[in-house]
Amino acid sequence: MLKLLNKKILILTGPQGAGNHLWSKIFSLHPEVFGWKSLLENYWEAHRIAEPFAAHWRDPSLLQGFDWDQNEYYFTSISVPLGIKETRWSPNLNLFIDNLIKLGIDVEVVVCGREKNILQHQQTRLRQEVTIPLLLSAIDNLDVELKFVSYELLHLYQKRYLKTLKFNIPVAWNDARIENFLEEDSNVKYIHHVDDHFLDECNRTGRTLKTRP
Amino acid sequence: MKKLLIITGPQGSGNHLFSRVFSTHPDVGGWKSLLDEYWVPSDLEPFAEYWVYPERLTAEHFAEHDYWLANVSVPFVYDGVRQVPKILEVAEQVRSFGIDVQIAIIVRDQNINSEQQRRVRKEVTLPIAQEYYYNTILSSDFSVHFLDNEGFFLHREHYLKWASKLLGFPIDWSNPDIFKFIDQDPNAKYVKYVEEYWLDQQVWYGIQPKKARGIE
Repeated sequence: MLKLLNKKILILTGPQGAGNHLWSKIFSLHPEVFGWKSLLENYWEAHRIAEPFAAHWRDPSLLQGFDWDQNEYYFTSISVPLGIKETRWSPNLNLFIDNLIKLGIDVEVVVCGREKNILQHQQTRLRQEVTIPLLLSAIDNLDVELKFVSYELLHLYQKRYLKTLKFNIPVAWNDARIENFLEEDSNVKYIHHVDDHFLDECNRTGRTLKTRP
Repeated sequence: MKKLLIITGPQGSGNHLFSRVFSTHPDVGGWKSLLDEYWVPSDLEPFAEYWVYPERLTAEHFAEHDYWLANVSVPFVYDGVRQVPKILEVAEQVRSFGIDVQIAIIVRDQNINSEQQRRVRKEVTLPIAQEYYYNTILSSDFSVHFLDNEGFFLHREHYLKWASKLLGFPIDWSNPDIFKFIDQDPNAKYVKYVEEYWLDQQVWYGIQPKKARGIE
């Protein structure tokens, strides 16, 4: 088999609702990256219909027949799991990665994160169950080095944060469309005011606290 | 080569937590009193004096360890006075001793962070931090990375393992004591359940089988 030594792919994974679509838009922006380009036109699309590697996630052996001449840099994303209760399934990340490595492709895996309490509420509302443990178990079993990106960092520091990311594909950190993607912080609706907390007095007075009350 | 890691973040963004995590490693000279006490005021942090008077910092300070951790929030309160710490000046001073300096900016969800500051500080100081980071730290020639509270709480040892590699700095990520620091999530009290969101219907529709959506 001919090895594809000059090809690089970034795989983004994360819990459901952690910003997989948002990050997919950002990593697909660069003109030299083959990614989920249709998501740049549409606000939201179902992964299993529109993501360019959706079929390959179902059957990673198909990666061998993929047209790798289209670009040097590739991007794909997959949440763990996908779907909702009855239709839920978890992709085999290791099998997908192994197939890519066998082809000689340079693989990097990035895991996206979002505030855990918000994620739990979002998954409960939308998926009828908390699926975070499935993602955690999947990354526990991964044989590759992991890198991380953050929904909260992205919203606060935006292009300044993106500029610091060093991955195996180029990131279009300065693209004007990013501002549109980040127009709404989806965390806002989950946050409420807290009247007081046991540590407030220490913060105000500078008093040391030996143990947690 | 010796190394100093400066951890900085807006007030209430997890400065104490990350200081505790990094200071746990036996090879790191850091804010060790935080390992014995739950909360210590920022002007008792080992480098506190130097954020105000960087010229007082000498190479002797770094004799005992190869790795050092310093932490300061922006702004910070020193001896009762709120001020913007001279992080860049400290970094330059330390570099002049032949010590490698790395800076990491920590973040906590901006909505939670703002709520916390409004309640504890009576004002949101997040913009002060952002302005300082943008105009001073991120425009400097020091290596700057970002760390997030939420990533640590969610991905735990995986996150620390990655952070250690990213920063080239030892973290005792397999030490179970570290996870005692996060057995209670300070964000939880700020987060409420949301009954519905306008995108939900679209997502439910999108994950139905094609047949159910009338697609051939």
